[in-house]
Amino acid sequence: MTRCSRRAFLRASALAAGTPLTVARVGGAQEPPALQVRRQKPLGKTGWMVGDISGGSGQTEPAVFDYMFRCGINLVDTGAQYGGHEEVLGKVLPKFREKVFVVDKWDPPLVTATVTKAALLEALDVSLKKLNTTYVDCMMLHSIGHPRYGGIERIQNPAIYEAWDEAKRLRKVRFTGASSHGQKMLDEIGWGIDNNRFDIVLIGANFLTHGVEPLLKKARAKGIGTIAMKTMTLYQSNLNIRALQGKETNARQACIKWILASDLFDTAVIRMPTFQQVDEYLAVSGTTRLAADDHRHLELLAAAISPQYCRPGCSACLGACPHDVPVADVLRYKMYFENYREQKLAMRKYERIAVSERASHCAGCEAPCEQRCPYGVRVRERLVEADRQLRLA
Amino acid sequence: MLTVLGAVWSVEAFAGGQTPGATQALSGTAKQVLAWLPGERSATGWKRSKPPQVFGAGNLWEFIDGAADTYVGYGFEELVSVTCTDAQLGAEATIDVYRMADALNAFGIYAQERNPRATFLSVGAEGYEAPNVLTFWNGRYYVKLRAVPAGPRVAASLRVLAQRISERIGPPANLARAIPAFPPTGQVPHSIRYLPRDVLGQAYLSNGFEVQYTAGATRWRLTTAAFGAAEQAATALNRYKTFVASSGHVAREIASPGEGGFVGSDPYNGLLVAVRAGGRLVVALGAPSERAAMETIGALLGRSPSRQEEP
Repeated sequence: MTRCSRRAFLRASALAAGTPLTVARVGGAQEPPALQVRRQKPLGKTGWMVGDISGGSGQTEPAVFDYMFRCGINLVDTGAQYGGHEEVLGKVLPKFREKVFVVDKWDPPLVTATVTKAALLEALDVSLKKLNTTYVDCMMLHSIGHPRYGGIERIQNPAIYEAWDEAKRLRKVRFTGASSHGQKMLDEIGWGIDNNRFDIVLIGANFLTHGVEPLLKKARAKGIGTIAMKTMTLYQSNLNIRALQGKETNARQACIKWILASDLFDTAVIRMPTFQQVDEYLAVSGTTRLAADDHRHLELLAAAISPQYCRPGCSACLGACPHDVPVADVLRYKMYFENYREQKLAMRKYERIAVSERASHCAGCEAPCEQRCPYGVRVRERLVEADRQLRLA
Repeated sequence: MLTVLGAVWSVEAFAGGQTPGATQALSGTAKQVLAWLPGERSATGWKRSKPPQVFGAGNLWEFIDGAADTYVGYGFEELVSVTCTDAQLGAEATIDVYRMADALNAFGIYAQERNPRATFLSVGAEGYEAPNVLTFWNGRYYVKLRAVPAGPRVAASLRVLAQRISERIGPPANLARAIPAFPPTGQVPHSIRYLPRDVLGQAYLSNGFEVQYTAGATRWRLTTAAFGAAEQAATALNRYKTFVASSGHVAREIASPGEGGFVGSDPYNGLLVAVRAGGRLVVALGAPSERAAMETIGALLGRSPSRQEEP
């Protein structure tokens, strides 16, 4: 019989039962929870040793933060945009302030090409008050590379960097950075890295994402901390992946294990609103290689969605079409139609595309868009399908 | 002030304020919301300066990124966002109107984002303002207005604009029967929250409410969760007790208030009193004393019968 430590036994039992795993108080002393972060890495050149599993948004219960931090999770990602999240964290943060690295982010619409230094510093003060602290460890630009918020001129506004410098001088901010999972992620994060603007980058990535490696390599070479997010965005895309999640399988854990084993990032921030989710995700901390079951789960996921799934930050097909079909937009509308059950919305959006630029051209085309796709997405086939689905409406 | 009021906004019928192409592309519900907002051809005050944007549950993340999960959790259905400018004020405003599943969920997302330190306003069911931002909820709508640059004239203009939008939505919803009648003594104003899921960070507790209380320097809270049947509530209470026993301490069983439960403590909240009444769980967390917790729970149960007990 394989030797099994008490903690390993407790962990396995609790996970099987789906109950949070903590250890009772003995003689009034509070023991740390049995599940702990098991691997730490340097977070770039910040001097912080960060656990491989970090906390994302979604908590509404302060006790969950308390539990996360007692489990050794020592980085948490929040932002002004995550309604109420800063306040909930602020209820717990003073108790753990020196033990937790706080990544905060300005509200994305605030950061424009014309925003002033004063407005940014005022917003920082509002966040500090909500967080119940005098400083954040990293203040980030939120969601750069996202067309909704503007182009690269937005992050080239000198006021941002003046505000960061001032905040550092006032000891309200220790490090700075940016988050992105938008179409222009590689361009805008890359610009910040090339121009030495960021200490830490927070990037959307998962096991189906390729192409971010050169960016991460460049970041690492400069000592920039790297954090993964959206590691399970596939689930949010409602592609019926949950059907693969049975009692005997845990595809969610496999997604996280892939990120950990890839060693591409210093840590991964994961949304965990409940005690149960903290335990589920902490159980894979320390992973350095994937087991056979993990490969099986990921292969199942990949088979289900890879040929259809446009990866975060990818814009390889943009501008490839000789007919100016907005390939990424059409594929997104198709996703609304098929996966989000938003047929009317998808059709209305498709209708807004000029007739001369719709995917009706695609059937007889050599599909340079597909040739440019680094992931093997069956672009032409999907565009032809999209035209049929969306036009029929 | 008269200048401000005179310059704020003239309502424009949607059909006259939109380009034909844009109107054809919008849903009926989005058109209805747009009719409440400034149009492109307003004679004075705020004028819509960009095409409206409409988002559904499937793509809300494109608009508000990681915050979208929370909105979807509160039954988000559709967002209409418009950008307006006021030449006289030299200001630009964005108005975001979120349509939620119902009034309770509109209240829920509003309360989730509510800043208890803000200045509260009598607009819609409830609203508040902070520098350059005004937020309120009314009916099934959660409305956010933001303007730059900030300033007293712009703030006054946003107040008038918000009031006009609210009037067009209709009279405020009455949630008195939906929200538990938490005892008022010691209750922190504007602290009631609706928690559709993950109540107390527990995946098996849903359909809850929470309110904050103060007693001297102690701030504590009362939390509820509701179930379709008493048996389900009993099972959930047992599960919660097991959780508390593993993470903290269960001191003893109690036979009342309600149908009883347990007294214990956990590492974050300290004292904990949890009871069941019909299909409801009520948990007091961090109360200054066991007695205070039980009295407040008892008062709550006396003021609001569980759904099973309602006629």
